Amino acid sequence: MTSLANPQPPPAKPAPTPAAPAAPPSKYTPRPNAPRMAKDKYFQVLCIAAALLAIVVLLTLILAITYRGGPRLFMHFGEFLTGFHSSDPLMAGMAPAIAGTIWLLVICAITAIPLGVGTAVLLEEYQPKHPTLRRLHGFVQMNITNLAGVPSIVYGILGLTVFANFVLFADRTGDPWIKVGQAWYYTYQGLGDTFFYAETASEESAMSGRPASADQVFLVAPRPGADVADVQVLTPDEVAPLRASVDRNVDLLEDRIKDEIRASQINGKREPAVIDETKAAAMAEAVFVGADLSADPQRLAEIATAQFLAMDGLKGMPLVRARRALTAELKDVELIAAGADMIIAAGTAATPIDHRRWYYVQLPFGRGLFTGGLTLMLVILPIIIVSSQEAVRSVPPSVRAGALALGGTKWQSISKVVLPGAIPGICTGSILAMSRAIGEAAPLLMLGAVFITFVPGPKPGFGDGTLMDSFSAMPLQIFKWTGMPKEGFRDAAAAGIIVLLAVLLTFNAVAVFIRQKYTQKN
Amino acid sequence: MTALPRGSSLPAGPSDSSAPRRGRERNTKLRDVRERCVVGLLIACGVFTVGTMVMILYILLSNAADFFGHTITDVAGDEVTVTLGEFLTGLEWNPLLGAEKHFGIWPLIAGTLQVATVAMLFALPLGLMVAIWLSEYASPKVRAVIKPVLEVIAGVPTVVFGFFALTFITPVLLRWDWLQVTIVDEATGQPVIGSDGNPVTQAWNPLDFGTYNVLSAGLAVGIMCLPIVTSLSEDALRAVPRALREGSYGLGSSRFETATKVVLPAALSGIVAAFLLAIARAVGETMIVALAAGSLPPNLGEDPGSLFDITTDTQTMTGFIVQIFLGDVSHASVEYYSVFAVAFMLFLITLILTVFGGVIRKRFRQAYD
Repeated sequence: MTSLANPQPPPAKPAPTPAAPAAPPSKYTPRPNAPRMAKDKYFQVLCIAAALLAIVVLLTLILAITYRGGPRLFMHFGEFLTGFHSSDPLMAGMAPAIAGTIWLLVICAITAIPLGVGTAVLLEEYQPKHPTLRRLHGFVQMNITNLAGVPSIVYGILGLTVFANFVLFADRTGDPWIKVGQAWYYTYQGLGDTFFYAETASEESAMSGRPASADQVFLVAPRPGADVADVQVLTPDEVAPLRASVDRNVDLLEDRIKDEIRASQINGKREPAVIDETKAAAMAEAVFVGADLSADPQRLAEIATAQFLAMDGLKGMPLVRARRALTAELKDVELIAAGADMIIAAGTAATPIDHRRWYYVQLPFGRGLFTGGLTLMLVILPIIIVSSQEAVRSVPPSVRAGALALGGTKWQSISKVVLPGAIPGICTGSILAMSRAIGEAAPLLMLGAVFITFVPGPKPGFGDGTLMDSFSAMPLQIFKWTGMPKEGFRDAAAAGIIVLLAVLLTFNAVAVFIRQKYTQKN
Repeated sequence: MTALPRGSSLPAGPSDSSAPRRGRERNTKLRDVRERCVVGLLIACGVFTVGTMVMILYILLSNAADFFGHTITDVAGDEVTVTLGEFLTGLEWNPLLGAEKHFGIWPLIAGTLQVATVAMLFALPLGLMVAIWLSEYASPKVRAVIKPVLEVIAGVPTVVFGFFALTFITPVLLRWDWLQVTIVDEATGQPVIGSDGNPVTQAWNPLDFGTYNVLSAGLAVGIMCLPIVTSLSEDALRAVPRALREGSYGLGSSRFETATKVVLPAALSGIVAAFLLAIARAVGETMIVALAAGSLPPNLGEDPGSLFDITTDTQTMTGFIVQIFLGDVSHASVEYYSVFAVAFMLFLITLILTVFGGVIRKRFRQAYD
């Protein structure tokens, strides 16, 4: 600036001196630099403060949650991960929530990724030339941008009405129209609290509740879906002596134990009873081996020991209740030893129950895992589409041209060349979308049942559990615990948040790893 | 192999008319069918996304229409029909409590506005400053620290921010335990003396915050929106070509002047779009307000000033939806149907913000070579 303003540079001096601006007067007054530079500096300080504030907020968040939840999480780590909700905050666990989240993710991934990648391929690779089609194409693209902006709770309403009830109006709920994989059983109560299940053809025949008779013997199984057992049906006349003999034996054992306790109270002084396993075993054997109703002697001895301690009353057990329970158990053991686990008394009424096989499907889906997964699918679909579009776009056009030049069809070039090249990007986008789904609670609020006492999801070969089961999810559980009045539940919620954040960090780390690995390669 | 049948050409090539030609005979019919099937499937995927939008609109609208037809019995025992006019102009919203039910949407919109305003006052300036700093000032090393921090915040589920608001921000606002004040008897002007002979003290609560308050929920929503503002604004700022900056520096500008007078105006459309997107997210945010904002929207009819009170509880549109779906409201009741009208309003507001953001980004984008 100075050289422009100064037409005659000083010729005598080869190097410019600091005094140069002061030399000839110019019509331009140089702007003072200092305030401008100060402004620059202040602004930078302000910006750094803003960035630091963001870091401080994140640190505070992490510290506040670790401070509350850390001790709670590691106090009962195993129980927290495998337990169920309880009214005692210290005993509450989140096993149903964890299992629910896993199942939701599986359903969500299976449905959302093909749909999302398919839409992305349509939008990126099949761009039509016809003007009307082009406009339609642009509309689909714009629609996806708008879907991404829809609040997730609106998707929850959609899930509740469309997926859960299959109706467009909210109040028309009722029984499902179609049920696949549901079986009806007669249930008979056998001797000694055993149960038997006999499959029937339909709901109607189950509801008729036929009493047990000899012709049903080979239909009966000890568990729904289990192999048919060899079951006897006994008449009341045949059952009575069995029961009497068991009762007699149990009474006899109790008498023995009473004698033993009395013997330890000689001289009026109450000594703690001394009984060990061998002694109990000996007593049990003395009573039962003679009668030919002996069960597993080991188990008998254990029960006899427990019985003894309960009757002695020194273990601090509620005496009467413990005694009753033990007597009942003893009777069961004896009855089973006598073959009662294979016996139904003739005339026992059948109770109809329904049993859902693991592949049970109903239409409409109801408020179960499947509906939850589909709803989350709607939430993350736009994210998957956008990230897949970017991944597909990043594959160089020359590669497509090469595939087409070799005689491949359009789909061949896409499926064999473009998609394999786009897989890292699609994977990263999908994982990030999944981590969004893990943390999403709002759309599940109206679908999820929070405090459930079973681990939801289909368990082939283990009996109960289907995709139509009601479910909980980790963020739902956290939400409910946070809102509960007992302060202890907030600690549990914080512990749940730590688990949730740990899962999310793992997901993000995998996504970053994939991204890093493949960017280095290309 | 000793005697070649014809000339010196070795095995029968494609030109040999006696051998089958390899390129021609292949049946391409199956391939073409597959090609068409694939296109059909892909179009079905696209139709699904459009169908989702149609479904949202249809369900919200049809159920909201049911809501407006509903008759309710008012406090005098007369039957009153909920009308669209009342919904759009009413200043009172109390569908659950109170003798008389009022269905005016404005208190819920006001509640949403309260939370969103607090959030944006926090997130927009802060986010923009961080974005400018990241794109104009920060060295690559610093960026490598700040960017992941923002990504981590962006990945935190909103229910966690709700927990943070309720169990950390609110107590900080509510109870200043470290600052005890003595209670003064208003009649005598003397400090109240407790049973132990010392003046009775209590935690200082200067602004009289409630357990659920706007500020706490708003700040949490602001924290949630911060990474959105920052990363989208930064993208917009970085998209401004280097030449513009260099020109500005060449004319002797400082970095501050370059950032605010050259880069920021050039990236303005992208930044405004980012702001609109952040506002849409704040309006649609559910879990934070469900946990920390309470369940009482400002009563604009009786006390318009409550719109500016950030110390008391409030209710947003999303908060109301959650309250109804989590409560034991009958599925045939007018309260239940009111959810769909509110949800449609929410959907409309966020849709307008999203569309507007998209238009601004496209329309006013400066095209650089």
